[in-house]
Amino acid sequence: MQEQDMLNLRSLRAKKARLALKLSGSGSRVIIITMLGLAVLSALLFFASLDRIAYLTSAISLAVAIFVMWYRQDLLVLKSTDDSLDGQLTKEILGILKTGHINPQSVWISLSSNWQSQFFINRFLLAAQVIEQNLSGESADMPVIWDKAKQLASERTSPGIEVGHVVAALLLTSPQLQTIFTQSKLSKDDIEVVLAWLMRTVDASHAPKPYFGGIGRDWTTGFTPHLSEFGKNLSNTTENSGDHFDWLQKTPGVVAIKNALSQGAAGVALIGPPGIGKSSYIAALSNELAEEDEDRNLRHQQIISLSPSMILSRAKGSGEIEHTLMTIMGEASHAGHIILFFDDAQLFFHEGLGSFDITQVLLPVLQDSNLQLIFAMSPNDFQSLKANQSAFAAKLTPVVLAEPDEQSVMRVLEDTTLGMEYKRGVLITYDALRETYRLSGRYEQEMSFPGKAIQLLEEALPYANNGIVTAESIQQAIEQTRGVKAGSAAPVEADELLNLEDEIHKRMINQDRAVSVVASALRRTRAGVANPKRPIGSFLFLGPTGVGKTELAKSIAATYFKNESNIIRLDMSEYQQADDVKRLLAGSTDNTSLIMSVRERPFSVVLLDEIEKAHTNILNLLLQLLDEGQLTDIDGRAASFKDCIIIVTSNAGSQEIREHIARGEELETFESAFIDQLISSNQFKPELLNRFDEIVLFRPLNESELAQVVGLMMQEVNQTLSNQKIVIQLTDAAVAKIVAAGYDARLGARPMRRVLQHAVEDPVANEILSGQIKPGDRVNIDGPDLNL
Amino acid sequence: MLALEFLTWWYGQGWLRRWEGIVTYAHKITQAFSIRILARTLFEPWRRIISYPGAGLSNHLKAMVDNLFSRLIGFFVRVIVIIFSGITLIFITLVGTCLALIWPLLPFIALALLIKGVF
Repeated sequence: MQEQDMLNLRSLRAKKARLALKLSGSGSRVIIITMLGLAVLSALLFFASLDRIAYLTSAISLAVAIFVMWYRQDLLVLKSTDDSLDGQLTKEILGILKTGHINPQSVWISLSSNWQSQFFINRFLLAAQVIEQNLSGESADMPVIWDKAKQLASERTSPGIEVGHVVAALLLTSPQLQTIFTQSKLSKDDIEVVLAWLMRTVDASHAPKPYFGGIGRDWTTGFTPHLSEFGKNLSNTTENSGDHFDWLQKTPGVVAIKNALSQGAAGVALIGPPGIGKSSYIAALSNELAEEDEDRNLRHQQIISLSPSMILSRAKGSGEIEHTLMTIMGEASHAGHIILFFDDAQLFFHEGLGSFDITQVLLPVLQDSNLQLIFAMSPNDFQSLKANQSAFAAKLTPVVLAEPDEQSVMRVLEDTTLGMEYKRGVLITYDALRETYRLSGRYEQEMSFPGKAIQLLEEALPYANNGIVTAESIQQAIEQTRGVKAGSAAPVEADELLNLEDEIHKRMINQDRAVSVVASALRRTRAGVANPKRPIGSFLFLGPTGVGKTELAKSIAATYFKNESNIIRLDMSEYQQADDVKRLLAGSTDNTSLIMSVRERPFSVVLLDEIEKAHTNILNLLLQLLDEGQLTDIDGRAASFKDCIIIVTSNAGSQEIREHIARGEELETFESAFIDQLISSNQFKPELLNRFDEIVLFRPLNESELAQVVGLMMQEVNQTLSNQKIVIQLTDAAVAKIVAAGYDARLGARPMRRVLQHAVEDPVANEILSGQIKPGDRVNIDGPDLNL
Repeated sequence: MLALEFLTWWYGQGWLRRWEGIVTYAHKITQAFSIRILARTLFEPWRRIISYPGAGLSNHLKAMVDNLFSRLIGFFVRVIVIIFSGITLIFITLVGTCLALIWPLLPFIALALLIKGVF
């Protein structure tokens, strides 16, 4: 058998692995206790002059001790030997695999109880049996799996092939499992990401404890009683917590701060939006300085974080705040080897509730003292500082932190997850982490990555189902905390989409062409063909008044978002001035602005009526909205429109459409020429028209279609009366009379509603009140009955 | 075969590790007692407790004496710790060396004890 030629389970290394496995756990403890017992017994026997037995027990005790040393230092370690498969596999694999028939299923069964296998099971929420059932039972499939495992190990420069590598190879090479993963929207890349996460955990567990300077480190620093009262020694905190910041220590942010401090910068402004991890960068820096012994200027420096809120809350007045700070600065300067870190530094830069301006106290420290200070603040706060305290700001070396990319955020999330799981006793799946990244990125605009993702993940822990945090838990958390309907991110099922035209036609009369165009575009988006960084769909509806443009928008909201009220409607005739842009983009100060409406209801149809009346600036904004799927409010925070359907209506060219239809032309025949004409007549810029998914032309309704509109309106009236068990029926003559009275070439079907109210609803209401129509009655209305 | 594997390790990697162990432990002791830091700051004032002179010669002299006293305390504390760490280092090195020297003989000692017990 080929795989048995490759994997030699009769090799010495394999035998040693099996021996180590047999002795692991309680076996080794029994041997050590026996050895110690025999050693004590030997001493007692020598004391009792029973020399021969004492020699025997001593010999056995020493022999056991020798064996224990071999077991602990060789068998348990079992380093990789050569490039052969059995020379590379770790003892956990070699020790548990049985000689004989080896195939993917048997390998999985042997390894499935190992914690690294469980790591995959838990992250992907896959039952061990499901994996087993979908693995091959053919020995001939093993060489491919061993090769893949070897490749995965060498790509990550692992010293040997771990259980994780073999499990990942099993998952990656099984076509049946790939189908299951694909159905769960997972790819091969996701398996490799989880493998990398697992291997980081393995490496961290093997990593040596970092050296923080020993007992003499603190003796290089003076006593700091006041500083200890108001500050927190980050160097000690990171040392005691055992947290690893290896990855963060090498980031450009930490390197830049370190370089600035090393070159003697009196102050560093650490600039980044909330949530970017400024405190984590400083914790990583403190780790770096504690471990680092190359740079003479920073050797053994300790970072102490000052809490502005504590200083401000304990001081009774401005004089006391200044006195406290002067004392702290004096102590820190005198003590030496201390860098002060001001988190939320903006609280020290201006007068206000819970803040105090102490720049005049800090300026001399920056100018003359040997003390180095780090101030953490947001970009806006730094701009404000430069504007208001230019001399102070000029003394600071700015270090701007960039928002991490998706890969880095996922890595932070993965590392954070293990701590959360341990503390909260939950299990967090991999799809939950992906959903956390996606939803926090889309709906949390106040914070930056990775902070907002970590915050959302923490908020989702109470929504764990049976202790398991899944993508649904994240959706529930964001729905409850942000008030958005994240769960409706998959608003309609595929079969409903396939019949979207029928659904819409339950509410719409004719306009087959418009309905078909819109439905096709929505199907493209739902199928994942369209660009996910733009709105779900964007449509320009062109046509005369009263032909069903708004009704189609409402129908889309009702069918696609399952709620007709999920529509944000703006009359663009109210936005004709350049300044009106501000109203549209108002942030938290105006809850009725477009931005705030979308933040509240991100899954909506945004209906912009009569766009041709809006100011040019608004049209430019529309370009950005259609291109990027987001707008930025006047406070600088982005709002996502990627879950919206944008519908823009216009009456431009209505007369031309009427004329074409009157000549008996079909929409398809003149559509292209009509749009060209709109561009050439400067009614719309080509760059705007090009950005819509579809330009949809609506044609005027004819009399038979208007009769159907009357029918739909009557359905609504009867729906309203249904609780009184009253049914109103119109004869064909009555319908024809209403159409004749309600039809207007300019206003389309719009006057029909008024006519119906006047001719039908008003008389019926009077008769109900007078008792002429009673519950349970069926009322037939004929043409002559109508007072028109 | 496993017995041969054991003997190969015992007189190969196992013995080598005993010698390496002496260096590893010596390094750990040096780190734990911060010997490099203590040596570098040997004459610095104890916990940086220093006096600043006021006006007048007597104050200058007093500050000088205070600071000299602080440096003396620092010097003595550090020297004591360095001496203690040195003793520990020597002790660990000696024990490690003895164990490394006796290491190849241990299987024979076990065998000798067994023979002495039986016969």
